[in-house]
Amino acid sequence: MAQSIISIKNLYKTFPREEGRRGTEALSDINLNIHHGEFLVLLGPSGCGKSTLLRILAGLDKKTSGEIIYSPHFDPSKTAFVFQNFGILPWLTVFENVELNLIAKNITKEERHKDVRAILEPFGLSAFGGSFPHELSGGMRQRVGLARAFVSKPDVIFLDEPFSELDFFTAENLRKILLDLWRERSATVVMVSHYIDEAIALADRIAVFSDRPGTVTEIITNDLARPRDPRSHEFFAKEDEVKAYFLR
Amino acid sequence: MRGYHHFSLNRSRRHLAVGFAVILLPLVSLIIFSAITKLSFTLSIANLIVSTLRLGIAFVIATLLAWLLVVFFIRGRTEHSALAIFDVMQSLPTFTILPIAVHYLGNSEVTIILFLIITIIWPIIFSIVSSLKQVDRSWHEAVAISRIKGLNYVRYFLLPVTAPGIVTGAIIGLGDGWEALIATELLLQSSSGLGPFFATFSDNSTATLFGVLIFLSFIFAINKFVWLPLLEKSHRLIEQ
Repeated sequence: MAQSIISIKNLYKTFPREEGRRGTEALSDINLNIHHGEFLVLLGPSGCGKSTLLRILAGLDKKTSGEIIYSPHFDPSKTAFVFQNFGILPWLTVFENVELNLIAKNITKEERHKDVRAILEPFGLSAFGGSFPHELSGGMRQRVGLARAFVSKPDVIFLDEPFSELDFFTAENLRKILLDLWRERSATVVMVSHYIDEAIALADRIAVFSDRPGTVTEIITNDLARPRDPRSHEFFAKEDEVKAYFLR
Repeated sequence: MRGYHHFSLNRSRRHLAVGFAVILLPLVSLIIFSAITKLSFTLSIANLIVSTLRLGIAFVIATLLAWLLVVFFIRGRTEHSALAIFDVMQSLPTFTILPIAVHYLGNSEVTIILFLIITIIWPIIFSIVSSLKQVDRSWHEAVAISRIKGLNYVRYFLLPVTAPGIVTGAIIGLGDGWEALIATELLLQSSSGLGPFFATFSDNSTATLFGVLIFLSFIFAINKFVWLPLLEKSHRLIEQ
């Protein structure tokens, strides 16, 4: 049985009511184990609370009730987050944005710069270290977001729909880089998506979410051999299987 | 592409030509003013420098104080009450407490600077608050994830996101500050500075006119060569 790095038990999240409005129940009775080293995709329709769960796991938001049990191997300082809208700081250069996740670490400036240069390379950003975010395309900005996440060699990476604002070709390219780095680094990846084909292409397991209030209705093991061919019979069969859970 | 859709408030040749003329204008005006009023050029410029220094000191203290007040109180549970208190305090007619200040501090430089601080600080506070409100949530979260703290947090996050507010607040605050400066210098019968300078020539409309012209051109030159470029730069910092 795979070792869990994070266990979620009976988790609820209700956003407090604002003036004149009722509170919104975003997540209801979430039970989920995240295994060490796996690529888990939280899949569901927009607004079902997937991103909220991801943010709670990353410590960016608070749960209303329930339990999150982190394994003793989980080190909060060894996590990273990739934002849907990139979340890169416009006043810093590409190099400085990537370096940001190393500043709090106890390493020398020389080591920091060496690590940044090393991670810019696979993302094709080596020539853009001195550029500012407004000089980059959306795809390039998300490369910066991903490079920033990977530069600190995190154990767990949370990705919030990282490719949803990108064109098909850029997204495909970045998915490949993400997969390569995930395998190379043996990190645990938890990614939010609302694209079934993306989930099947990337995930070891897919947690299917219901509509709001979101709850995990099914966990699908995706054991298709890698590299996965999205035009293969097995891929289509898996797609049908996942779709069936949403059509119920 | 570097410089893509940047502000261009101070880029045109016309603006530069006007700006250059504005550097000379206060000096030429000051010479004419000295000739009309039969006052020495040195004395005229000394008064301008004294007032500018008073305002400069008050501005630095007000900016630091405003920034600290916003950073420490405009967050979490204290935000609503702090904003309410700031709003009430900025509405307070500052000159009503001038007699109390004079009673305790006398007709001193401290009183003048204190009054300038009270006048300047509010637009700076509210402009910084406005800057912080415009910060993208993902910037906050990216910084939280990076776990930078202390001086690094100030350097990499707080200063850049509050810079547009500081500059905008400074432009508004200094505008109010000049007005309060001259009034305070007059009310406190200060022996130096622009207030008593204008008071001396209140019955000489030509001298007053030139004095105001010098004053306006001086402020315009500062805006042109200091504040507008800074405003442009600070907005460029947070341009997405």
